[in-house]
Amino acid sequence: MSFLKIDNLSVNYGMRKETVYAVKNINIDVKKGEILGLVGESGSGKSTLGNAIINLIDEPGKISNGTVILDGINIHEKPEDILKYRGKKIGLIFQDPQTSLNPLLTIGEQLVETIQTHLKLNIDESKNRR
Amino acid sequence: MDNQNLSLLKRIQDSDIYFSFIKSPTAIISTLVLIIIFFCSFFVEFVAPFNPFDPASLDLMEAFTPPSWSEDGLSKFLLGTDGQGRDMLSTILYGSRISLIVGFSAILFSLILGVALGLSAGYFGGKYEMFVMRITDVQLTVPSILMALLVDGIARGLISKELHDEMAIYVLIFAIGISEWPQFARVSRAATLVEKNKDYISASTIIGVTNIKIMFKHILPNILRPILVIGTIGLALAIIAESTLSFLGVGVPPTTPSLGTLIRIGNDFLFSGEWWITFFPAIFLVILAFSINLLGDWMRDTLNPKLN
Repeated sequence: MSFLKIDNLSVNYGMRKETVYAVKNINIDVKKGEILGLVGESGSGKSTLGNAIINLIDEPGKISNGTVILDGINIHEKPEDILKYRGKKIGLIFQDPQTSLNPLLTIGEQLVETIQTHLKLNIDESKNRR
Repeated sequence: MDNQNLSLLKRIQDSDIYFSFIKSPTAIISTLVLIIIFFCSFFVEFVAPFNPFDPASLDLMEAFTPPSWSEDGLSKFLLGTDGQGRDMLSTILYGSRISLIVGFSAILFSLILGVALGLSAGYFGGKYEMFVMRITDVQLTVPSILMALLVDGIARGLISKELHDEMAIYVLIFAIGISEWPQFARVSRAATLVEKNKDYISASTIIGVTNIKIMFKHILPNILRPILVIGTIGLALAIIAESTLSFLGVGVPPTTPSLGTLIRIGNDFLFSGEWWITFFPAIFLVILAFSINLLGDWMRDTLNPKLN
């Protein structure tokens, strides 16, 4: 039984004259506990696929078709649905730690923010959980 | 708490900004001049030798006294007196307080309005961004003095004359503020567009932080540097705009003279030889605006990461 099932996922960028597909008809099945690595040359769509799974494609790109089923739930069914699952059921770890953190806040403050956002705790309780 | 204060002091002393500040004589001198001007303006009751608004202390016989170093000068009036016998030095200090209050409030008003619109436009994008930026473009085509004159004219039409004198300062703040905000909106939008594509904003989005929190906690502190620079230079412009409007007679009423009003009053006597009435307020305005501009230039050089 697959844990993450990606069916026919496509991402396109609407240009002036044509539509460019960054990711086209991708099908992936990942079982629970399985580790999947994607390999490809730069510009082949690895990051776009990652962003598409978590619904983080910026304009003018858009997910043109396909479904992402995570643990039996279609997380792309409604655009606002993904907000419920991001950070709880699915996350993203960025490649470059230098730009993945806000340069003006301490690491501690950013960890506390995550805990506060998800567990609805106040600052002191979040600091204890850190 | 003491430890926290000490470590904050240490952090300031170790910072690049502090280092650049103590290495720049221009920044130190302009800051000192500004501190002296701000101190004298806000504690004017204790600093000024006379109170020019106290009719009992005025003597018309002492009107048009030239500065103390000239032949007919009196030692108690360092910079001479105006047509009503008011000491010029005290009047300038009292006037500069009004100029500074109007300048600061106007720039604060335009900063809040411009940054709120620019930040949200850059962050949300789409039609909202286009709408806000087109308004900004339209606003930029109207010269700021003209805009301020227009606002003042409308305010005069809407409220009675007595009320207008009372409200004059607020009208002036609104008039100058409304003509300065597009600068802030443009700069904060451009900076937001750069910041929002960085990974830490995506990371915040992924962990589920709300849009408002991302905008004000993560993006705003990171775009403050260019905003502070144009804010400082805008302050000088706002003070000059206030003086220009008061010079044109649409600023604060003559009963509470600002620097511009003083220059206008002095202008009437310029050709009869009483040059000091207009000269000293004008020089004071030049020094004030020049110091703020120099400080703004230093900030621009220091806070620009491309130049470091």
